[in-house]
Amino acid sequence: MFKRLRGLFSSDLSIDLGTANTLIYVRGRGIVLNEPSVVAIRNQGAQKSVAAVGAEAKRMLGRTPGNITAIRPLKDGVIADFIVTEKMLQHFIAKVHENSFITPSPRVLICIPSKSTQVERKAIRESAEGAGAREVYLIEEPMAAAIGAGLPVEEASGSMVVDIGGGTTEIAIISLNGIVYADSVRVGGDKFDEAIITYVRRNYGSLIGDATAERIKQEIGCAYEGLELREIDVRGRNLAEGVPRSFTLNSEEILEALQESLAQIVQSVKSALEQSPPELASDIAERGIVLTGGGALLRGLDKLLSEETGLPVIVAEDPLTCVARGGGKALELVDKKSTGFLFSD
Amino acid sequence: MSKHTPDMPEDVSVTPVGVRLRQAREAAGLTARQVADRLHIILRFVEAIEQDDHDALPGTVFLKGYVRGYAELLSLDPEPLLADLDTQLSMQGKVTTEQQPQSDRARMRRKGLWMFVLIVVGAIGFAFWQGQSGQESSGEAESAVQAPPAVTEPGQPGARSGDVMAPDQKASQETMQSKPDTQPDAEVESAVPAVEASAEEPVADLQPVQGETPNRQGVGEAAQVEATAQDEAADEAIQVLPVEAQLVAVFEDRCWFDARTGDGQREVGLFKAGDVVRLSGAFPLSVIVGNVEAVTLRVNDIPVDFSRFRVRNKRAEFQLTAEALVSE
Repeated sequence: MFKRLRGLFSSDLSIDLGTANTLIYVRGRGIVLNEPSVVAIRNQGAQKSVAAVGAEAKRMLGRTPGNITAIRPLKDGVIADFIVTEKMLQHFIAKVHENSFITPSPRVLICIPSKSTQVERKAIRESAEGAGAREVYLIEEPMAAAIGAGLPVEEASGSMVVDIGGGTTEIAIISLNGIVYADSVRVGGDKFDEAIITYVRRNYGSLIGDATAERIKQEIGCAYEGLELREIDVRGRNLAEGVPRSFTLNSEEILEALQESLAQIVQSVKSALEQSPPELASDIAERGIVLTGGGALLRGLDKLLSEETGLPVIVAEDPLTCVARGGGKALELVDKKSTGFLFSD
Repeated sequence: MSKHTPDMPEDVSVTPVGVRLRQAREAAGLTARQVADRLHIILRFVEAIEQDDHDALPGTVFLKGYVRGYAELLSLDPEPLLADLDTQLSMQGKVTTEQQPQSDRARMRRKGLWMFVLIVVGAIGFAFWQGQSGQESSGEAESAVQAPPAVTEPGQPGARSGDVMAPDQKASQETMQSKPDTQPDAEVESAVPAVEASAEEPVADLQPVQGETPNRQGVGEAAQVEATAQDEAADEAIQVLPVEAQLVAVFEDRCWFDARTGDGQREVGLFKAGDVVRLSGAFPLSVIVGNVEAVTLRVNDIPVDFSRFRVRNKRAEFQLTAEALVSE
């Protein structure tokens, strides 16, 4: 009774619960929250309390004293720490309803990796319910990404979407509101960062943190040779001398570092094309592949995929928010009951 | 918008995006076929882009993607081109403004919501006030003349020591009683004089109107809304928990059944179709049912739904508290 009443004061939310970032889209208001999926936990003896969530917690990542631990509760697109995820969602949902004086109890749509297991789906659902959601709907990420990118998903023609997130890359071929083929590789922004860290350690004998690696990737990262050469100054701890040292990296080096992860993505895109039914493959060959997710912002990735597959590759507008926006659109269709792509149990 | 091309006027009487791309391509000495090969787009689409024939292209997403790729191939800055393309598309009415009706609907919903809030808050406040005035009047009977401050009707009989009803609730009920001949479409205003007219009716008559439901139609909408709000308030505010549990189990098939009350009363055994088990005692009830499909269980006349509990292989074992029963 009270849940329903509180629901009247809550907005419907579409949540892209990503490994790296969590985005919330509110019907009629657009993207209202875009924060890193990080929670800082303070340990006071046996008691644990949340010290910070989101951007504030991310700044703490790798810089915390002994009694605070900054955690990323999602790994590879699925929940790694159930309780912390619930706390994080609770915080974000409350933040979206900041001016409400009643505890919100919204209807929530959450995007899940297409290859997630029943157990993982249940975990996400229960997390959202624990965070106060009145009703929880799940949608497969590539479907949301395709809707958000504006692909004609309801038509009887194949659309291929490659959503490169923080933890996973989702590849899907969609036609008539359904997923014809889906694959999920556990390669994404995080793997890129790891590759950069490994490269720097091997070639410069220096240790850099996750945040630095991410900055390198965003500023000079590139996926295709022959693009404009960029440089960046970074500081890391020299392993031999034990003191911080400064050195310069260029985009060619980063390309070399990312080679292996990129090859995996290219390989799975190719195998998706191989396995798609011929009619849909011809649709895709005519129009092209659409890239979404933060990974699509990696310079030259569209070019790489285009050259490797021989198909046009397009980066969707505002690729970071595609999934959340698509979820929002799907949520608007929930009431119409004509959607085949939502899971409500 | 077209700040990157300052020599061109602001509106899109400027060269269309397709023409600009074609001119740039020709300047670079490329053929349309070469562009198509480099971008891996089919030739037909390149020509459609250059002729601004957007209907021949698969969709806005693809159009923008192609234009971006095309511009990058010719080393043009894609952003101003895309901005102009947007203007061009919106002039053609391709970009639908899907936000507008949505926000309208949202506003309507919000309005309704606030109305609802006001009613609920009013009802809760009223219930609270009613409780308070009830306490007051039972405490000191002679001060009742000045106690209800909201009583404004001049014809109101003075001392009503036992009267615990608030004026507006009274008003609505009096209206219900005193307007048996009111037309169904009676306005709220017309109900107001009736309140005054009937204000001298004896207190004993101001009881909940059970047998007069047809008259309710005659009452204005406001009174009905108030009445439902009161019901809700009553549900929320005064939820009386039953003290004694009265369990009735009717069997339709063979079934093992074990029920125990909080004060140790127990009925246990294997029952067959047609048996009826009655048990009364204190909460909580501990119940074990061997075959949930064969039993209809009612506690204090409230049917118990087994699906709320864990049912395994048709067997259910659960505890039922008074709170759980009421919430059912």
